[in-house]
Amino acid sequence: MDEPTSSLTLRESEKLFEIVEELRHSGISVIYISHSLEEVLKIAERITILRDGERVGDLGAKDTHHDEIVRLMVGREFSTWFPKRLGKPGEVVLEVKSLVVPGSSFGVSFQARRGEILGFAGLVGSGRTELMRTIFGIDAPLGGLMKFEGSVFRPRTPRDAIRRGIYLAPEDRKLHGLVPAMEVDKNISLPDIGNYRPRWILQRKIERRVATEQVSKLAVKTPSIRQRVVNLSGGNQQKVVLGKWLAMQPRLLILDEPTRGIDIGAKAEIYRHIATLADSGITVLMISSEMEEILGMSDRLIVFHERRITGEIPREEATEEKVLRLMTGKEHAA
Amino acid sequence: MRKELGMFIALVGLCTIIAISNPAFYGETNLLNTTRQIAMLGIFAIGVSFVIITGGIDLSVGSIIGLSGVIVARISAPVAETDLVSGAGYHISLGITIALLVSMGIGLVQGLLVTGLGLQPFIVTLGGMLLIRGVSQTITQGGNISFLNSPFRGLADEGLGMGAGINIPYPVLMCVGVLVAGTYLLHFTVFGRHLYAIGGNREAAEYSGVPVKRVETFAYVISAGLAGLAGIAYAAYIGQMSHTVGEAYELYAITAAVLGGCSLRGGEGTVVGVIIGSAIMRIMDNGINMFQIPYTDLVDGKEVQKFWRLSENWRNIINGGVILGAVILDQISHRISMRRKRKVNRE
Repeated sequence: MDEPTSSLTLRESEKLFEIVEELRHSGISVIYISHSLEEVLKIAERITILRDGERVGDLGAKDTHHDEIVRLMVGREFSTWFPKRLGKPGEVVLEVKSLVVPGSSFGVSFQARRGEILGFAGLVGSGRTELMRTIFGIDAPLGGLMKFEGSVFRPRTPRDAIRRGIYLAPEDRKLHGLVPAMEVDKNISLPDIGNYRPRWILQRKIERRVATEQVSKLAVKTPSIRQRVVNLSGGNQQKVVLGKWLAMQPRLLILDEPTRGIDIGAKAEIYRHIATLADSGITVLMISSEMEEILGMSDRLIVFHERRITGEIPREEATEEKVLRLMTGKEHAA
Repeated sequence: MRKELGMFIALVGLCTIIAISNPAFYGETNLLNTTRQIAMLGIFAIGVSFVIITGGIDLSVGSIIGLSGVIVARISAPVAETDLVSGAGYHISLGITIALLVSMGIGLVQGLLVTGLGLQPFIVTLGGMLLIRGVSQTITQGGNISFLNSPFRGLADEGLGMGAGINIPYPVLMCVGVLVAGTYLLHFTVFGRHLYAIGGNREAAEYSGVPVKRVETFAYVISAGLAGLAGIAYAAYIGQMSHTVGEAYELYAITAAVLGGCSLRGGEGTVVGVIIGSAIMRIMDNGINMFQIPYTDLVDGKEVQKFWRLSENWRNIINGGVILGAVILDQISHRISMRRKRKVNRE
């Protein structure tokens, strides 16, 4: 069974556990995959822990405990390729007050500062992407309010958010970030081309200049800016998404899983760009499900569990175990 | 532009074959008629291509052509006592203005239903197609409204004198105007870029701040407006309007657009391509009348020159076959280029 409870209610899950128990008694072996440590500890006899496709531990459920599993799951040392931050976060630019996001019934509140990288940790489906979609104006909030740079911010479309300098690099690049059949230059210019002057005719020259600039700044590997983005690798596609926003002086940049499906080399480059942006005074909200990345990059961490904020941790106090405990709902921060 | 070039070569080939088989093909009368037919189809095919490029479809254009013509006839055709329904005899400019406004209004309503309520373009314009046809029928009360000898008919039959006895028919001038304006809008404005972006990936366009609903609604207004314009040309050309004028024309327009390089998935197509597609449609139609193979037959021991001709009954079979053939060819070339690309990427 692979994450069998992910779409079940608590009651249904209990029922499922009973069935698993019955199966076990009638002599059927069960392999049970789950992200929920409680579940695993509850029903398993033996626990195997995998990390990056390798087996890192084999434990008897009776002889182990929550923390040991967590340690094995995250295990490895921090790598050193996360860039050093130069700037210090400034004044509060984004204030989110008891914002109720569609699909949730809890209010979410937090603040983000100028030049700060604010990390959002949590399990997949914990409500982080939905929060960002609301801030970017894709979904309307059910309640609560937002303030951006001192004034009330109530975006009804992404267009409203973009007008305030709030940009989003979405989780699914191909679905939401890019027009795959369009060329690199057209993708980069898409949000801004309506502002190039004179407006009565398409400004191809400006478009090419802006695209060339971003392609060289971000070191996008492409034969030309006339290449269709569908032919680029994942890392270079992500750079095109970034380039399209960096060309328009962001004030707040939302990055949803910015390095998903990207090779290590491009990852390190993207980390450097993010750090440089924050150092130049841009506020970055970053969602990541990679523990190492979120800990390495964030100035401050907000942890989500089942659509609620379960903790807010400054960089110095952030440890993998602490974050994991918060995101699995094992503990609430004081 | 590679698709367009391919279809242009096909068009030239088609013309050559017909011209060789029957010199009357490039006779003045036939050339003039065929050009006018191409122009009238081109006007509304370009309109529909705006919607197709956004990834939508407009099935209502044939009915809008009919309604537009019927409105012009009802308002501006001369009063005739003998007929069941007749024109009201107002100035022709009033009829044309109202016909165009009504057409664009229909486009606006359909566009808002698609973008505002999120209804499927196919269903909305299918409903529109039936409903608008019905409105034409109530206006004509199932009969004909004749323009009699109204000078309005000159709009199709006459043209701009170029000297040396050459007249460019007004519908051709209209089509050239639409071609120029369409090329500008689609290829040289931000609006056009937004149309392609929406057709290429609606969500990404939305996430990039493209005013998707506004742009898309406007595409339906353009489509309906140009259908209205074409309807006026057809009314002048036919000289009388019944509610059946323009039936199935939406399919000609969609076919012309697809032959000319538009993809029904959206995000692809050019104005020039659509004109080439329209020309292929009309010349094929004309070619079915014109094409002939001479042969000699022995009658009573004497050699008699005879011509083998295509049967009129084959028209739909040939049209349908060409459309399917073009789409199949396009898909095959698409697959081949994708495979080549994948190979390059792997290396």
